Amino acid sequence: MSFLTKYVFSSDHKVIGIQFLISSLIWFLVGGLMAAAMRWQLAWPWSDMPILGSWLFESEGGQISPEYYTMLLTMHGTVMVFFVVIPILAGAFGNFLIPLMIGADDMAFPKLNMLSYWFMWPAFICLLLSFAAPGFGPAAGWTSYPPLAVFEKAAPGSGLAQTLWLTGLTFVGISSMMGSINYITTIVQMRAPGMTFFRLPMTIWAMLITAILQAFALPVLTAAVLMQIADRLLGTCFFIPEGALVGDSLVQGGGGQALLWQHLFWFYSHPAVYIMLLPAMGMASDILSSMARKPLFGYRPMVYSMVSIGGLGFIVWGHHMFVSGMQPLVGAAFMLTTILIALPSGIKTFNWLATLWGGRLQLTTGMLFCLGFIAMFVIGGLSGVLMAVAPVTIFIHDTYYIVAHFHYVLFGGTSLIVIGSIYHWYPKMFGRMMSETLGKIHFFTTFVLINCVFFPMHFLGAQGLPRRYADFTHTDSFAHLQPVNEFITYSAFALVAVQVVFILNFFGSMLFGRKAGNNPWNANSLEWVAASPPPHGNFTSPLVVYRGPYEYSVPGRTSDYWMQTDPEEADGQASH
Amino acid sequence: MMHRFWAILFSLVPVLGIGLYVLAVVGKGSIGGFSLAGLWLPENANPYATTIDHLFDLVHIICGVVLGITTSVLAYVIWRYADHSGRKNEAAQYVTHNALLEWIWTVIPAAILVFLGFYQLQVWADNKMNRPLEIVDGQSQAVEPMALVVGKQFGWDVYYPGPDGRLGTADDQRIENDLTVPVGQPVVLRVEAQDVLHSFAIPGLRVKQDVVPGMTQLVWFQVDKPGTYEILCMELCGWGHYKMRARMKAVAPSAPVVAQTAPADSAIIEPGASTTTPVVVEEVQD
Amino acid sequence: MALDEIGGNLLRTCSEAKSGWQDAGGRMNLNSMRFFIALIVLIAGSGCTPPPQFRENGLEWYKQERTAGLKAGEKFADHHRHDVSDIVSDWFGTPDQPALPLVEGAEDPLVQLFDPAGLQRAAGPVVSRDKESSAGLYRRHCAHCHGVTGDGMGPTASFLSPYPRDFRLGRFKFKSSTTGTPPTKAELKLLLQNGVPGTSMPSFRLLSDDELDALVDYVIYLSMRGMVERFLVAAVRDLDDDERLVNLPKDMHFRDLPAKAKGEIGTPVTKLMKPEAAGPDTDTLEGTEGKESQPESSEPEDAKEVGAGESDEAGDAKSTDEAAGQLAFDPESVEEDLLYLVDEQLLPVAEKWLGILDSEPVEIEVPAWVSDPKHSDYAAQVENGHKLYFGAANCVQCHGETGVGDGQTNNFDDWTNDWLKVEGIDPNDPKAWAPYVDAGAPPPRPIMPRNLRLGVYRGGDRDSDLFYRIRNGIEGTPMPASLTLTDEQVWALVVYVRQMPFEKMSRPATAPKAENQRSVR
Repeated sequence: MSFLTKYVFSSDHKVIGIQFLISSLIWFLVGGLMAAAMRWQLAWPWSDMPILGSWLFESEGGQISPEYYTMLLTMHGTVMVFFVVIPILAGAFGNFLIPLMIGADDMAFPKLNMLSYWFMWPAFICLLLSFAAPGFGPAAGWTSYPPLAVFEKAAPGSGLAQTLWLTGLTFVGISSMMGSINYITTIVQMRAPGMTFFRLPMTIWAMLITAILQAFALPVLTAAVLMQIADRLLGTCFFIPEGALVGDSLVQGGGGQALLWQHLFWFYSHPAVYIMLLPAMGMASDILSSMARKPLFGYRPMVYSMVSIGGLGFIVWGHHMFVSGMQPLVGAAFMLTTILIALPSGIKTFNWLATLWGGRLQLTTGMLFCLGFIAMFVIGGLSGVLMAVAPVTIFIHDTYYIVAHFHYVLFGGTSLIVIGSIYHWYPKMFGRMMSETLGKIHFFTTFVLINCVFFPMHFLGAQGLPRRYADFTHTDSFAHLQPVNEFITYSAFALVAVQVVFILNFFGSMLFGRKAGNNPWNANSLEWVAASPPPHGNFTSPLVVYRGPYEYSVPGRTSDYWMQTDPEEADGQASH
Repeated sequence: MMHRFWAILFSLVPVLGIGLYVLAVVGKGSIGGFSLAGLWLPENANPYATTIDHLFDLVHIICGVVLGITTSVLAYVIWRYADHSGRKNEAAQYVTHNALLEWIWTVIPAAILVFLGFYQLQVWADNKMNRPLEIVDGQSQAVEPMALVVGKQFGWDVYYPGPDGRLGTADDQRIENDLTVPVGQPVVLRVEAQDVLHSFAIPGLRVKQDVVPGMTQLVWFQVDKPGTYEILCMELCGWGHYKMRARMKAVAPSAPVVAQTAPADSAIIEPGASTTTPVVVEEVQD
Repeated sequence: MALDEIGGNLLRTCSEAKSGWQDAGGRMNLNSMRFFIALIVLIAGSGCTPPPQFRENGLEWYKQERTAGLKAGEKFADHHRHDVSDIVSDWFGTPDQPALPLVEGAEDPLVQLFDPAGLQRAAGPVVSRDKESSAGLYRRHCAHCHGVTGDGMGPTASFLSPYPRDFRLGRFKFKSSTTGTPPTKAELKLLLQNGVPGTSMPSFRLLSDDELDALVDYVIYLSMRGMVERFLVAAVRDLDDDERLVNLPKDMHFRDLPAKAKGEIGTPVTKLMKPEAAGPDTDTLEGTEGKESQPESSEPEDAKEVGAGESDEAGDAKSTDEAAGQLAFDPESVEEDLLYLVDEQLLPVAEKWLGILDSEPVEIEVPAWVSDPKHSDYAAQVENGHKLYFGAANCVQCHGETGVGDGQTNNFDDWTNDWLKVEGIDPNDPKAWAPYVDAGAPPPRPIMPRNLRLGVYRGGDRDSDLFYRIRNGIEGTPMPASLTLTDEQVWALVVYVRQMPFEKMSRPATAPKAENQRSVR
């Protein structure tokens, strides 16, 4: 095998997973730097912004323009959701872990798998090009609500840049679709003998449900994106209402409905919220159980609650639209379903706590990130309950309360798990351990700073501070909150800066890390049977699975773990 | 004893999480010279929305209790069950499930959530579905909109009915970014958008309604406190989103509202002139 | 900050990191932390942007070069460009530190036109601590579109239609005065308050009166500066390459002359401010000008002091001689040249704007039938207006038979015609106008006659606004003044325009059912 086929155009699921991981982490950095730029503007509005300001706005003395800020918030959201969280969960960990955890030698369709990664590249290129398009990039928010996104005259970035954004999104959709077909087929068809559905690790359950969500919801988004492209390029009017007056010119055509986009978009993007969360929950369950040396508490309820999250996830999209102008009666119905979806998430949290209770917690870096995830997810989940209460949404919709909520879920939640999972599965990926000392410094600083950045946003939201404003000092009501904004900004800079520790650890450990054995954590699931890193084809000998993945500290055994492939029987102890 | 350190770190989550909330709600104290007073809900001048504030507090209390319990348990678990040299001989317990426990923590949250779901319906209906009523000629009927507010990039055009007394005709009096409403009476506004999505929001009155081009919405509120309020846009509407704000003055009903485009000619509109009959606010019940 | 030092440091840390990344126990070698520190230093070091400068009017230079008949690629001599920019900076200061060209010192009538404290507050970088002490108003509210220079070429400008106004031509559209006469401050302020409906110019009604006044002053200042710059560029056209606007030796720059020799014309506004008003604002300024503003400062070389204009003492003359001796130029001939420039280029601009100080607000009487459809004369006047629209006033030519603005649509406004007509460029040929766009012009767009049926009137929707639009025309656009019509005829046209079918479809006369109205039983 040449270098190209081995490391670039590889159809090996592990290489593809690592490709997804690295490209997502690079985008993570880009998105984080964008957030830092936004925070600069919010703390010291219209002041001389470092680097970006002197590079792009020299004749204004480094003062960025408001549409540049809008572009930053749009691209920050887009990059973080479509290029970081979704690909890193499904693309990186899904690819890497699914065949290993079910005992398969590769994905069901290795070439399709490779394509699914390489279809991300047109998306990357489209987004990069859109920065160079007039207006510095799309500026209609990551939700790209029409008519702002459709009327070229409505916003500087709503021209070519928006078209590129939509095209990029289409490619992301194609990539995800290829991935999810592959995951479903692999999980259903390629499990090792003895690996029944109820012996699957939670990660695999989560990936399966995620893939199903993707497969059913994504076509709707793709259709909507194509409709928006058609509105822009072909002169259709799906989202263009009658008689809109932009500037002073009457928009030709009409008869469309701007709210239609919101319905279609959130029909995908609310399930996408769970696409961004369920795999994290699955991986958290696996790490928690193995590091607590204790069986996962309530395996089946955990599975059922995940399935119900997946099911309910399809009928709650309207809670993004409580005050959108949608018929209020419809809003009332969505409110009830939304309230219900809090329940399975709650059950999962309680089960995690019960898993920890009475365990022997190994406080590795991966485990600490998982514990941090639980704490952050509780905060983000509970503020989500508040948002399900529609009358309260009248007040907090589009305020910083929302920003605090979804950052607690996506950054405090998912991203912590992603980082924790990197620490946990790094030995399997690269055959070396990451530095625990650096890891713990990284965890401590990240955990503290996340809260410094996002917790005060709850208070800003309770004041009614609106999202997506380039300058709060412009208003009368919120100018007094500027000290809070400055504090958040300092914390955000520190948060971005401490990620350097992680970058150093990640790349440094590849070269200098301690060599890892096959099973450095003494964990049960199948990936720890394979060599570290696993060779092409994963397992040297055929596997038979005898029990579930969570048989830790089984009484009467000398070792506190019991690998799924281990044929010996315990006295009268059956796996569930 | 690194695990103690982590346990203390995690115990800060419930302590600071709830503590800061309490400080903000109580509105006392300061951090680094920044007063915590006024970090909670801004003062509400809209009697229809007191229930919103009430719900906001109620959900926060419920969530605060859950937050306190779960994160305290988490911190305790780390304190008690972390592996360290003193626990060499203590094995982890082998517990796979416990039906009773699981039923308890399914049913109780479910009950609370279902209660919340139904409890809020009336508040939602009052704020978004049941327009205030007034008595006209012995008949109770919904209050008619007193003005039309049209969002555009980047400002709010306020139209008062012209001499013909109707909204949406050519003789409407237009003034940009300046709305005047009477105090102590239900006010209904027609809100629309001209170009892209906007959101008509007045934080001090808990009013928020997205406006969509091609659609018409009604918002209603009552201002009990005379003064000036800020109308904001809360849906991304382009580069000038942050500067799209207007002023709403609440004045005594007897004072004439002067819609002033210039000193030269101004339209004088009597707020509530068409609703001189006593106003009765009633919720529509089945 | 020596960049190569940082680079060397980075390299060294890299090589050191290789030698000992972490020991067997996974402990970190602290040396690699240097990476981190070096990165932060690198980022912080590249942070600052120099304060913005007024942009040179490249379009005017290019235009005058073509007017002078230079071949493609040929330019005026460099010293001309330096002279113009030196003189303009001397007279008008910088974006952070505006100055006023006061020929007669504190007695100069121009002082009355501006509130120095307001000008200073409108200029400079954005400071937004709180409402009262906010400064940098222009860059905060206006510069995104109108540009720091007031050239209508801010970062957002090219996306807007119509383009933001370029103040440098000194032409303003919406005013009650006739073409050639600037609007009054009250009119400019009203325009800020109401915005320009149908354009990207928003309403600034919620700014305080002080802030609006400051912005109006600053716009007038930018406009004057731009006009003077354009006049100076035009003056260069008549010079040979070896001549100069001011007679200086070849390698000498006007900016290097002592203040006395420069005629003490440019006066920083901080010096004109009352001491108490100067206090908070000068804090925000960097540089020496702020310090000089204190009246008690009595440094001998501080020849720029406001009062200097009153006296022609021997000492001053001596110091000029001294400077001349050192720098080898002829102060008298410089003074002569400057006087000429002041007379020919500066004073006409100043006088034009000073005219607004005397202009009285015109009270216009609106006939009773204009706004009252039930009036007995109304129908007759509509008919009258109809005839004029199609006849004597010839509105139909541009605004079209139905008033939707579909008549003649291939006109350009004066801001475009100003350079488009120089070489008779075909606006439809991008290759032809590309050099002008490179020089700083926005790509030409035809000006569209207004659609009179939208109910959107850019210059205001009062009856008197419409009257003045028709009576005086709109300066800078093809909309002509209707000097031959009587007042009554103009009012008839106003009525006719007003009664055109109301077709704003986003708010039709029959209100659609509100979304949340349907659920009300």
